[in-house]
Amino acid sequence: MGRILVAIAAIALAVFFRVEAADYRIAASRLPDVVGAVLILLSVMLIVQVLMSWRKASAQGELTIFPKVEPRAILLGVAFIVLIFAYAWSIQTIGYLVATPVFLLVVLVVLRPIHWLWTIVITATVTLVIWAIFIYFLKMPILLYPGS
Amino acid sequence: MTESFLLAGLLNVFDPANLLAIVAGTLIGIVVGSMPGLSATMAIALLLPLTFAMPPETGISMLAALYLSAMYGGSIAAILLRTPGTPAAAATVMDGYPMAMKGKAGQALGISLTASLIGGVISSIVLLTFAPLLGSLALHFGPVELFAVAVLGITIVGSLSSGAMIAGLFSGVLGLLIATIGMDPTTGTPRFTFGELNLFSGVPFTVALIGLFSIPQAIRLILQGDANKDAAVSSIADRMLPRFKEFRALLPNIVRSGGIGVMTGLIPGTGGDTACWFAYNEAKRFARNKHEFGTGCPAGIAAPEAANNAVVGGALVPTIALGIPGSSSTAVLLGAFMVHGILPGPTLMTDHAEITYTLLWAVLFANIALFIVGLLFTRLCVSVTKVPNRVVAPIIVVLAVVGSFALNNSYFDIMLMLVFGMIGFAFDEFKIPTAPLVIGLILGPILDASLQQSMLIGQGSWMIFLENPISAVLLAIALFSILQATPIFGLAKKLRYRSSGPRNL
Repeated sequence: MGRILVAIAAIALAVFFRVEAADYRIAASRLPDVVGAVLILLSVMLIVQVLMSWRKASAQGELTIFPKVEPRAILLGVAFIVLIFAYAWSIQTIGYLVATPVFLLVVLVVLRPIHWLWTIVITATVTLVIWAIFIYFLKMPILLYPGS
Repeated sequence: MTESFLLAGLLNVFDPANLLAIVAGTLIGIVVGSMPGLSATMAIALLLPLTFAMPPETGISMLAALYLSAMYGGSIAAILLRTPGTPAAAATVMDGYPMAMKGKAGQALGISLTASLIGGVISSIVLLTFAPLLGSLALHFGPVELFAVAVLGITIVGSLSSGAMIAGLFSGVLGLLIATIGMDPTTGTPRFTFGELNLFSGVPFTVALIGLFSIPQAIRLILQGDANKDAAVSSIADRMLPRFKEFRALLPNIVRSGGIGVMTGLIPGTGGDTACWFAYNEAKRFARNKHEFGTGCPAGIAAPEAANNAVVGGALVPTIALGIPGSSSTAVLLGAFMVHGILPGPTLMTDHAEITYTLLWAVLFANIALFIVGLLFTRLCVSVTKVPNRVVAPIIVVLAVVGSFALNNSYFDIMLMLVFGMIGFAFDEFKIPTAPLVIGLILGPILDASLQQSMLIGQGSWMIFLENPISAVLLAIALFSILQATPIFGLAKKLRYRSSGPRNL
């Protein structure tokens, strides 16, 4: 099912790009038009391929449109993705030196892959090493803490 | 001309900064490779922003050394944990782990290291010989031929995607479409930018790479946990280097496997993961003691390890000579050139010869560095294999976020990186290969510029591509590789079988 969704999204993107490119000069729209058309064709082929595999699986009595996934895995995956986006957003608002240790601590404390002492050591070391390389040596102008 | 460039490249490699970069890249590569779940591609993508502050030849040499040594690093996890550190070390598990279980972990790693050195040196010699030759040939290519080469590159990579030909082509073409975002190279028209200034110069390739290869990996590590580390061999007590008699017996196997690795690397779309199984099967076929394979046979370790390191040099030949990467790792390596403002293409061997030839030599020296660093640090890497996945995952995210910001000092890039991360994760989950997407992103600008120039030469006629013999042949091969991915080809094969009948079997 996932492949069909990706293929439909790709068709939508290609159609949208084609409509958008209609106002461009011929030279500017030439490649996007050609590539968009090929993408639509391949997306349709991808959908047909999945449908054919479903038909075959159905004939053998093995059809599963939505494969079984453990609810815990979905929860864990979604929570981690939300946390990643929250970290990316917070680094712009509360700064690297606050957002990074909080992000690392949340993951390491909730999942507890290591002893709490190691959690603190790793959080501090990673934050400081990346700060030293990117901010101290490479002079990367990132927000360090709120109001800095 | 080529000789003077070769000499200049050799002298450049001896620069202390470059030698240090090679050693550092080797060490990082071994460490990253030895952690199951971390790929060389991801490590190169994450380290790309760091090379921004280095001279191009130093940064690129470091990344090449990392790519090469991660292949060996992968065998450490394969031998000690029964989990390949990289896909290219998958076949090493077959005999590496049983040998380690017999208390010969050091011997297994020593064979792996020695085979990696020889396989790597063979491929470096091929790279130093054939890349300049192919490069000088490619210099005669005009925009029409370049367009055809780019089309061929994307179709071959897409159609060779293992077990997913249509999905591979789909992924490559999607990459090409995304690559059209930004200013059109001829008219300067902003395409699909929607007024967003950050997109005027196109989708930053490196940002896309970091997202595609690091975020899905981090999510996977979180989901996997540390289930496979119970069966680990936790120490190396025996001698690492093989004795001369043992080495002499393995040499023909290593040389043959090195050759297999080089040939596999030369074919776009195939890599270390294919080469290692190919070499393993050939080693078994040639061996007298076939029954010993799978029980800790030295030849079963030497073959895949020589092959996967030899892939590096082979894969770099089309990457450097034509500017067409054959795999995601070489695509990311080519990204290092782009970070330094060097556009991929045949001019890599002329306009940027000093940097490119330094890279060619760096690959050779990285093999020697790998052998020395490997002998010194492999025992320490045992502890690296014990780092839990759920500790590594958030660190990857931090590096990805900070690294994507560092490229252009732009928060927009962080969000763009995450969007590509989500695309990469969806692709992985639905078994759509990511490598063609990356190669589409790289080849997009080349395809765009060469198409515009060709159409100007051909006065707007598409026939220009068929009138040029080189381009016509290359496009015909591209068409063939697309057709063989479609049901038409399968139907034609069935019809031919029916007409010839089973008597030919």
